[in-house]
Amino acid sequence: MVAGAQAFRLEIPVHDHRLSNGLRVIVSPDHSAPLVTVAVYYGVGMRVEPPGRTGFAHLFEHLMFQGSGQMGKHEVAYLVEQNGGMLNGSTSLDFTNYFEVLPAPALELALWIEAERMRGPSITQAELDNQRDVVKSEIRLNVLNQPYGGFPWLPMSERAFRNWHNAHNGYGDMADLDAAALPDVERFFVDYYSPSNAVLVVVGDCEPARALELATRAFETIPPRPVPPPADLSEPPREAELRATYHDPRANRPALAISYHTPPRGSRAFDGLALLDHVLLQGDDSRLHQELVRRHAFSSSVDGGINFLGNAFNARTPLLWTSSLVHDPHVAADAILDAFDGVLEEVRVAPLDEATFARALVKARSAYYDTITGFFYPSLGRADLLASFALFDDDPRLINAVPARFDALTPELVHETAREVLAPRNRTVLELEPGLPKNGHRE
Amino acid sequence: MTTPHPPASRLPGFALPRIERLKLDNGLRAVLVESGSVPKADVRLVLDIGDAQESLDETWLSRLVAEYLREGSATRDSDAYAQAVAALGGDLAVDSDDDTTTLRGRVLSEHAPAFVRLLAELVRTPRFPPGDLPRLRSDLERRLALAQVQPHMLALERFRAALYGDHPYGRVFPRPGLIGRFTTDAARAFYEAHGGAARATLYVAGRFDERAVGAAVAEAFDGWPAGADSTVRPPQPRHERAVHLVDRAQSEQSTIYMGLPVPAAGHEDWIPLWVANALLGGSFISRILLNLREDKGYSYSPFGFISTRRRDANWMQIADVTTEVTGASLVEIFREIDRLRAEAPPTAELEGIQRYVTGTYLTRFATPAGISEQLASLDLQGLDASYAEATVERANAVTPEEVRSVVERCLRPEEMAIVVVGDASRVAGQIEPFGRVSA
Repeated sequence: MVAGAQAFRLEIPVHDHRLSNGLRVIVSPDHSAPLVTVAVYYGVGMRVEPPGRTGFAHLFEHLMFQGSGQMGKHEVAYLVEQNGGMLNGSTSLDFTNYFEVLPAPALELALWIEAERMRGPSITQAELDNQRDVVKSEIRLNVLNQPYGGFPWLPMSERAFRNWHNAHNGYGDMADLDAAALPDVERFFVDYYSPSNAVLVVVGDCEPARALELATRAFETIPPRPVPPPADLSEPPREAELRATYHDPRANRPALAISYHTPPRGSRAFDGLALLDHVLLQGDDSRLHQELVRRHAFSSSVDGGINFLGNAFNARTPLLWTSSLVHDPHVAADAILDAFDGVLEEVRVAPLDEATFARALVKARSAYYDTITGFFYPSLGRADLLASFALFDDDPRLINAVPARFDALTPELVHETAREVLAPRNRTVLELEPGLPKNGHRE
Repeated sequence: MTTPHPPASRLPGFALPRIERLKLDNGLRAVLVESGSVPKADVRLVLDIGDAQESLDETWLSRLVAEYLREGSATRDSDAYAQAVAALGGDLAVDSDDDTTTLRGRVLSEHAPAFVRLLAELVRTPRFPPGDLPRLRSDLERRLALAQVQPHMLALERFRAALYGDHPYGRVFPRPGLIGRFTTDAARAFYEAHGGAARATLYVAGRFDERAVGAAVAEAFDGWPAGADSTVRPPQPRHERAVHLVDRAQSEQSTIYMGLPVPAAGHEDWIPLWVANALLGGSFISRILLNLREDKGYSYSPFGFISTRRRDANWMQIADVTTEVTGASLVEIFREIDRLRAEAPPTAELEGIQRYVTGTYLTRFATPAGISEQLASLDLQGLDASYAEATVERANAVTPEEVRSVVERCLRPEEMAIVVVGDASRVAGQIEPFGRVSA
């Protein structure tokens, strides 16, 4: 007797509270390992940056390891690692997170650390200068010194979007990073790092009541501040396909990326596009893989999905659904585009057949479970989804609603999405050409 | 550190998860571990097929085999096979490395037995369709071309060549033109020479019906021939100072790979060296990171680690540094090595590092994927799973003087290879003080 699907259901426990200073506290126990993951998500990311301040949200994230509250430079790293844990932070489009994974008995310590961080940075000019150098080194490593560095994320966002907040380089221009000064640091903290603009998530081997009690004790004395209204991310309507070329002096093979603007977060059409992603792009059975890789041999893989910096669930919209591949120089981009269009045309002409649709639902559910599991840091995937549904939809319990949202789709609804979203006027086609442009200037 | 944070707490003890082991008459082993809370099973079949078995003229042939293993079975072509896997919620990944080829899929829990059967079908009757050879070869050619412009791959190639010479571990790239000469017959012959049940282990971790998976293993792999004995040549890595400069014009920074061979897992020095590395360069509170990154701002991610293959290991320190301070970075790295060779670390510093390595060791066994990786790694080294428990115990017992002496014994600067990938016109003069530079 083989256990069926019913034996393996997933219902993630969600204990959702708000402290008097506006900090949202979400506790989700999981006793499968003797660890606890503590993550604080602030509702501020790269997209809030104004012109002249590109890369500042990320630089600020680095500064939050230099000293805050009663903690000195790098003390957060000592406290976590010397207690058997690991830590990191990241800056994304619409959030910045700080997290640690520790043996379960260190929960109180982890909460103390994040509360001290929330009390504000206390850094010197030397520490700012040091982390400015470190961030520049990071950008050289991941973008400037790396073939295809930042592709397609940075050049595609700059071209596909019209609204500055969506389009600008979130890693930052070196000149903007050079201009960052201590008063900017203080201002950014005051504006965006209020407890009322943050979500604290505790996942792992803990008792919810005890975790909430410890969190309340650690955080409730931090005063809230008014938070500026969110940046307007709206894009003007798109009337025609956009094509652009980008030169990468370190690349040695051409590449092609095709991006479509997503429908609004939470809409039926957004879910439809997320399902189409599984039909078209994810996995060896996907239609683009079958057509571009196996049939035409343009490349060994077609990569992509929704959201360059995460997944379909952990950012606001607008986002882009992108397919990209590196190909050989003797193949014209137009030949690839023709084959690509053939695949997309099929799902725009008629609804999916039942077998394909059913398989896509299984893939979507399975991939969502992987998102919950996360990758390197245990339980961070779960914490990330809980924080994202809290920040962007005001309801962390939506973490349990995703499979049902996919199951509520029909071939007809998905067909409607394909016709609307996958229209050529809704897309940007970006060709990467290796080497410098003809006029010899780097872009 | 004088701030009034909550006191350090006792770390929970390390305990291996419950491991169910099966062995079939043909030698196939299976390792089943129920773990985690998400209804998925991480299923991976590790085959004893890797670079280590390649002759010079077969460099990357194991990668062609790995590509061919995504092309379906005798009864299912690649499309049908991919669809069958996808219908279980999986996606087959096939990766080959120095020693092994791993076929991996993460499927919905209820489909774990069915995926085990699909894997067995694939490895017992791989399709090797000749018509796909030109495409797979051009994919490998493209991968090679793309790898050869990545600074880290260029550094690794030179570093491995410096340590391992003409051993397969020393060959990161095939020579030009070689891939174009690979044939389907050669790929199949290589697979058949090195494949087989006695050289395969299946790892299943996550949530699944253990009895049903065990039954699927016994049924689906029964009768698969054991295969030939493994005949790999152990490497004899070089211990000598060598300085290599790989010119990459107009590099934005210099990529440093440096290190030397060290005793492999299981050797009495292994665990003390593992602890010492975490203190020296292998943690966010390590001396080299604090120096290069937090003090000097030379580098974003300097990192020290011990890279392992089958009963082989080398210590490495990696850093991408600002071009102008390439030489200065090497000076600082050697300064930290020399300091640890000369002086035992303060007890408090070592205790913090011991808590770091033993506490984070728990996290390696906290997820299904982590458990399978750890158990597969112990198996590759020929070590019993109980070595994991011994690792934690031994790490906690290491003394400051043991750290100093293991670094003195194992991390000898005069035996280290140094590779720098960068703009030679700006870097060459900076690295001359470290030895005769080979271009």
